[in-house]
Amino acid sequence: VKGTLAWRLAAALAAALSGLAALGVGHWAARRAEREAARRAAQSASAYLAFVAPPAAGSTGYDLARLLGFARGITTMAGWTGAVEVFHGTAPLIRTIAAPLPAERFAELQEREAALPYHGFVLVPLKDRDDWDVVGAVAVRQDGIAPDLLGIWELVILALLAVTGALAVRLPRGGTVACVLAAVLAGLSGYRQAVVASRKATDQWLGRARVLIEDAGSRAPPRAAAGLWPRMNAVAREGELVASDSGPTTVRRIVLSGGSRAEVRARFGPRRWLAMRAIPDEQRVAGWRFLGLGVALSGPALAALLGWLARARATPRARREALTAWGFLAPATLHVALFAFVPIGFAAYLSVHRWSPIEPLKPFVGLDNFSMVARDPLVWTSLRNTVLYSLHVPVAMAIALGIALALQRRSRAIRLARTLFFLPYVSSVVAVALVWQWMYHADFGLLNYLLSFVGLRPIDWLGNPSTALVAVMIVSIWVQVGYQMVVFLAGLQGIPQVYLDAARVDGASAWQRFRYVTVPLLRPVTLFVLVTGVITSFQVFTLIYVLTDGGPLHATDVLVYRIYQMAWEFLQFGGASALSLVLLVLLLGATWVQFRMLGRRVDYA
Amino acid sequence: VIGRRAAVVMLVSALACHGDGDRTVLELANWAEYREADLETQVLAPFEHAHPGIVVQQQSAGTGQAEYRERILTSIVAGTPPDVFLLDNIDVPAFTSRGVTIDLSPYLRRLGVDLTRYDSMVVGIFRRGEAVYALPKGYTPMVMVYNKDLFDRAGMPYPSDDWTWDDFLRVAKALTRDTDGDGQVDQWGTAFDRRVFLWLPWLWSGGADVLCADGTRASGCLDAPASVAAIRWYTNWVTRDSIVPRAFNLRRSLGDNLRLFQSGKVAMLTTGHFWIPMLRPAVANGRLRIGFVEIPHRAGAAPQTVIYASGFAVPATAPHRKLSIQLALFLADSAAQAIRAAGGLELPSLTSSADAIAAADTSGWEAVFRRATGHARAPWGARIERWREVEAALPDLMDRITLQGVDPRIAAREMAQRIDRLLAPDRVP
Repeated sequence: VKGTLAWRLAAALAAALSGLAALGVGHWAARRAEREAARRAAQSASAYLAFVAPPAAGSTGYDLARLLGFARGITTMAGWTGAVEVFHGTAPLIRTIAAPLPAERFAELQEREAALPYHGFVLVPLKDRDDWDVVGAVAVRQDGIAPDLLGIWELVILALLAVTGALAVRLPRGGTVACVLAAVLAGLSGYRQAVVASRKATDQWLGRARVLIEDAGSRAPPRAAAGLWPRMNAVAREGELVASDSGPTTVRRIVLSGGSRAEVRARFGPRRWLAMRAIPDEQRVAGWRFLGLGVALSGPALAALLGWLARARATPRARREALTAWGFLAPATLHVALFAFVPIGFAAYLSVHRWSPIEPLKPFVGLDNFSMVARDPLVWTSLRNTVLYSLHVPVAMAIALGIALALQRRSRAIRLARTLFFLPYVSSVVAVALVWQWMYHADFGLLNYLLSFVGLRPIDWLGNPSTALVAVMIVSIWVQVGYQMVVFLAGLQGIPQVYLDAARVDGASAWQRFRYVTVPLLRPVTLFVLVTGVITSFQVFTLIYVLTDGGPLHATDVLVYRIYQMAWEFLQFGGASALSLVLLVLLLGATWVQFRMLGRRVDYA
Repeated sequence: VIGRRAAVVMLVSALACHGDGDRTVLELANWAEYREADLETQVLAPFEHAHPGIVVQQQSAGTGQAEYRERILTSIVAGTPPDVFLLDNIDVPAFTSRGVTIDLSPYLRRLGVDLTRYDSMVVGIFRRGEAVYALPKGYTPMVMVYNKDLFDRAGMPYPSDDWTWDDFLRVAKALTRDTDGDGQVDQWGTAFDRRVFLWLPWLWSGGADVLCADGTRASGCLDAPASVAAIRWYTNWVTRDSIVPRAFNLRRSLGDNLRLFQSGKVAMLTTGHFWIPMLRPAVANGRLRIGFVEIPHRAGAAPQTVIYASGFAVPATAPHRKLSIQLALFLADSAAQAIRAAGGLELPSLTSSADAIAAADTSGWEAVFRRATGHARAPWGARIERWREVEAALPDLMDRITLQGVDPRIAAREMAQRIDRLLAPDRVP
């Protein structure tokens, strides 16, 4: 009983700790949002000072007395919240009795020109009026945004996790399901912390930037305000500033060009209003929900494992064997998970977002990318071409099998022939494609030269839409046959000679021996070559990219080429990921069909 | 270009880097192939010499611009962008509107950079209002290269810059010949190319265009009578006049046509300065005698061509902002441009450097490029963000006419509608 209790306690602890870690992830994201809000506020204040503080005579630095006045003015602005300090060099200007900025910190700021943490503040450089040298710093305290890590609600969730974790040891199914549900609650609770804090961070920064812009506007000469407002872009850095009509001076969410924006209006001098917009921070934390859930779900997984270990105590040999098996499988599992499932998961994430490497906003768009892909006629063309292209696989297989049968015997010449057939497969695809490109040349190519001997007219192999795909398929067959031949040779050599001898004794002809002995016994190999061949053919890219670039008239435009073009040329990674998932489903379907058709008749014994 | 104050700043920063005993490594990304990369290494030597403690690592994606762009985008996503990178004109709209590169204009005055010393049109490619997002490295207008030997053999005078489409067609027909008498044509007047960057100047020189002036639509412009006439004339090279070999360039970056020109099979070719390094060896060993001439224009239309340029940009998230800006300025400065000019890949963006090269050139090639610059316009790619999608669609226009025999008027109208859909403001990619 004591032993069981220990397992239950361990499971409860594991589940509760994973829940705590999930909440910690959310809290960390919330603290990060808080830090970002302070950093942006400090940046805005730094830009504000660069705008309002006049230069010192004969220098690109600031008039110290005026800088001091403006720095202190920030703290008295209506609407500015939070502690702020401005340093000229290392000397504090607002609270002059405060400790100076350590020289090494200032040197680091000059060197890196980036935000640095400083005793609960975020420190950003104050640059001279030419935006070149760092002459001081602005520090804004990070506070008032991130909620406490553990409130009542969070404690309840942790207790629930502990209870259900312990339950998972006793009731493997029901307990684990309850533990999973509790873990989901923990993950979502952590995510909620991140979202709430991010929303507050955006609102806080926009609110602070607004009062700085309005103050700067009030100091600008009325007639010059029209020409000066673009300089406020530095205050609104990381957002955008546009001239607008009057509007609410509180932060609100609007939809712009299909994306959400946080907006606040600021008065910049008499009768001039500016709209300051930014991508809401809560939009940027969508990925955290997956991280929080992943961490939280590790608890139920651990609890289930502990439950299994507790039950397996009764059968130590089975437990040892299972652990050994998992030990051997772990590296491969880890490899597949890391290099196959993680990218697939990321592609799935991208497929439901509008995602571009240079686009700051990557909003969730649901199934819009799939809809866009389905409406694109070129996608359907590329799908048709891909299916047509894959038809070269059985042709290549037939040729490869024929060659394998012919090269079964062992002699030096045959070994040389095998090497020659295999050579294209290990050659650079680009080099192969370039050689074939020249061989296919309509006016100077080797193929047309040979055709001229039999009186045939030259063919524009790659330039004609009706022959281009076939031309690419021929190259592909030439490349693939060697590999398939080697696999078939291995299969042929695995067929016991006694079966063939028995058939010969029974009077079977060569064709009958091939048809009724060789072919059935080659089915596992045939299935392998077919499945891998079709998968490879669906993934063709390099040959197309080099030989035809998808042309002419999209006659060789295949799915992977379309994915490449959407992603890297048009920067539509969402659509490209949606299409790659479609390709994955197609490949799974094609493989399943092949297994259904051939797999049942395969004898692996 | 770099003033005294800038020199002091550079010296101070150099001493600062040297003082802490660490080497600061700056990464320069470009798409130079190995010969260009060698030249760029020579360019960088004085910078490293003037900045002890600073090492500039050149990351050359010599495989091509597509792969280079992938690398830049990936590094931006990963948060590890290069300190300075070469920005192609086609990426200017997207990179500048998304804040990928920093505006260099606030620093130019401080560092004593006088932008008026650069070719104004080339600088304009990287400018948005007052902001300057890259310092131009070099540029090329599109012109024609011709094989002097083939002209001489045909007893034809070399073309001059004021030639018209009619002159061109007459010459091209005369140079399309069966040289060995086997009944097969084995020398062609020119070569046809479906790639937009090569045929766009032909459209322009015919008074036509792909997009309307504001760059928001193609209907009314690509399918306008002047454009249809220009497209018809250009595609007639294949469908009616038979002055081009059959193989069209299918792959973007490989030049069947250039090889045919080098081997004397094609007499005239649309080209930029970028193919000169490939032509030079044959010229140097006497296998090829070539001349350059502006792209002919339709009678009644003004001569026009397109200009392509690249410039040095600093990513917004560059970790060594000041050093990066200094490096970008240095790379676009006269000393760097003089070294680079030896490669012959492009015209220097500094007007004085370009003039000096043209003055020293006895072949007369550079003078043609300089004259063509006077008739050149910035490419569409430098102006509108979705040009890549338009550019990917446009070869279909040529293919439909030359391969499927579709009437140019119909093909142009359908293509214009397709481009309109691509450029529709409410289309969310």
